[in-house]
Amino acid sequence: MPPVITTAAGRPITVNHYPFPDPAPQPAPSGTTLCKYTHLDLTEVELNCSSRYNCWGFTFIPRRYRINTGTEVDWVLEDNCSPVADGSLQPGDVIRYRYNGITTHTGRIWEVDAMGHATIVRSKWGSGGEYLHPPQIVPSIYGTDVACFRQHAPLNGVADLWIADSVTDDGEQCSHRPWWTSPDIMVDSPPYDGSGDLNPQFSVVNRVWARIRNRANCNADNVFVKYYWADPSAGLAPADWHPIPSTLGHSNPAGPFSVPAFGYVNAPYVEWTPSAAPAHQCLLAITYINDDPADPDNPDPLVYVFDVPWDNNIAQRNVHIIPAKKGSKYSIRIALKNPFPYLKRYVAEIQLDMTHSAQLPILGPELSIRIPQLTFSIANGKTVEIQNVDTRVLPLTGRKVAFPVTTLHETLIASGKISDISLDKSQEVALDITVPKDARPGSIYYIHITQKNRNQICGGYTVAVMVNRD
Amino acid sequence: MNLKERIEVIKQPEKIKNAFYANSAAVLGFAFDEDPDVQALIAVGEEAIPLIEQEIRENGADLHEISLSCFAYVLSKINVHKAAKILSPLFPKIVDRPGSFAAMFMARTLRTEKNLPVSSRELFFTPEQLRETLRSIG
Repeated sequence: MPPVITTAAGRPITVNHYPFPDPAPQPAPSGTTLCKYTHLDLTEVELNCSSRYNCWGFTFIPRRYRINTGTEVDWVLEDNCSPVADGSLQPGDVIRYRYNGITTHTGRIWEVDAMGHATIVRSKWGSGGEYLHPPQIVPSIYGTDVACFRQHAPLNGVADLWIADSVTDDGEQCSHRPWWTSPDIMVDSPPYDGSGDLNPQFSVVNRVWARIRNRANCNADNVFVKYYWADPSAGLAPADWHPIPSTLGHSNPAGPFSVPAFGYVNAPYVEWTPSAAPAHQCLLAITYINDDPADPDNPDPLVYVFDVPWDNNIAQRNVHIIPAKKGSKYSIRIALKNPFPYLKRYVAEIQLDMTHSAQLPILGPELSIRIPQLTFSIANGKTVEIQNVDTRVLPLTGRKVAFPVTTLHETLIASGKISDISLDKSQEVALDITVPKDARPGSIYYIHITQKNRNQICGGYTVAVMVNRD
Repeated sequence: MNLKERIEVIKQPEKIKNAFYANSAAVLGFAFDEDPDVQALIAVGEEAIPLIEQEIRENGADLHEISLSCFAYVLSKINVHKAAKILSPLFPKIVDRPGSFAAMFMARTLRTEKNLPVSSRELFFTPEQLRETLRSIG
C-alpha cells in the first residue's frame, strides 16, 4: 500500500507503482546518455525502462513511486520549492516542462555553465530510462515552456535519511558548500572519551561512527551504515573507497538500527587502524536500507551511490586539522585523482581558496586579516599563484559560484587556480603554509582545495590550520 | 496499411511515438495527438469502430495500458456515444488499477457521454469521481 505523501503545506500527493511489467530495455534516445547505478560492490546496472517510477517520482521521491499528475507536481513546486531565474541556476535545481499549460515533465539540473544556465539535466522519461541530456533534448510531448525551481523542504510521508555534507548542509539534493567537510563523521582516538577528535591516530585502533539523520515525518527502520576510508585526495573514484574491515563485535556495515522521524542517531562505531602513510586519510559513510535500486518497498533508496554531493545518504570527511604555532611552517602532501576513471582523457582545474574564521562568531571578521604565506605546487612544476582578495568588498553571504561561499563565520582572503591539469594518473601536490607571527590566537585558516571538471566540482580537500593560543 | 494493420500498430505501444515517455494520462494524450498512426486511425472514422470494439471485447483487460488508453482516445474522437457504449462493460475491471492511464481516458469518455463534469485542464479524475462514473453506468 503506497504511503500517504503530502507537500509541506499538507496537500496530498497520490503515488503508486504502475501495475504493468517494465517495457523492454531500449537504447538511449539520440542526444542522451543512459544513466547507471553503481552498487556498493562496484557492479553496475543500467537504469533502463521502468514503470515503477516516473519523472516526478525521480525528481521528488527518487525512484520510489510514480506521482500521478502534473497538477500535484505543481503543488509540490508551490509548497516545497521556490522559483529560480535562469542565470542563477545550480546543480540540483528542479527543471519543469509544460505543454499547453500542463506540467508534463521534471528533472534535476545536473550541470550548469559559468553563467548559471543549465547545460545538462538528469531526468526519467515516463516508463523509459533515466537519462542525462541537454535541457532542450526531450520528447516533443513535454513542450518547450521551461521554468526552474529550488527545493527547500522534503515531502512528508516517506523517510529521508541523510548525513550532513558540511555544517551548512540542509539535506537537499546536491550540496554546494565544501561537501567533503561532514560534521557527522566522527573519529575517537585512544584514550576513548566518546567524543570526536581532530584527526585519527595512526597504527592504533580508532573508533569511527556517523550521525544518521532523518528529515522526514516517519521513522526509518532496518537502517545500515557502511564506513570507508580513502587516501587524502581531491577527487575520488568509487574504487578509491576502501571499506573499513569488520572486527569482532563491530561489523561494517553497522546496523540494523532505526532513525526516528525528524531525529538522529549515532550509528554503531567500527574499529579502524589507519596506517602512517599517507599522512592523512579521508573517511566516508553511506547510510542505506538496501542496495537494490529496483526494490519497490525500500522507503529510502540509494540514488547516486558514491556521489557525495548528490546523494544525501552519503558523506565524506576529507579534512586535515593542524594545531599550529604562530610563525611556524607546515607542509602537507595530498593527491589529485581522476574521479571519472572511464574517461580516457581527463583534464581538471584546481581552485585554491583560503578563508579565515575568528572562530567565535560574535567576534566577527577583522579589518585587516593577517594572511599566511602559502604555496601549492604540483609534481609537474605548475604552481598556484595566490592572489589576495580585498575582504572589504566581499559579500558575506551566498555568491553565485558554488563555493567556498563566504559566511559570517568564514571570510575569503586569498584564492588562485591552475587550469588544464591532466589527471590521467594521480598527481601529488605539496601544500606549504607559514602561519603569520601576528596571527590572531584561536582563529582558523581554512585552505579549500577544489577540483573542477567542466565547471562542476568533483572533489575537494580542506586543511584547517588552528592558531594556538599560547 | 489497412485498417487491421493500423489496429495492430496500436496494440504495440512501443510503436506509438513517445507514448512510453508519458508521465501522466494528460501527457499520453499529447503523444496520441502527435502520432501519425493514431491520427490515421481516427481519420478512418466510423468504419474503424467495429474492429476496435471486437478488440476491446476480446482482449480489453489484457491490452497494455497505453494500447487500451489509445483505443479509448480513438473511439471518443470518432463517436463519443458509441465509445461510451463499447467501453462501459470494461470500465469496472480497469477502474481500480492503481494509477491507470486507461481508466482516465475511459472515464473522460463515459463522463462526457453522461454529461458529468470533465476538467478542461488536465486529464485526471479523483477516486470519488471514478466511483461516480462507475455508478453512472449502472
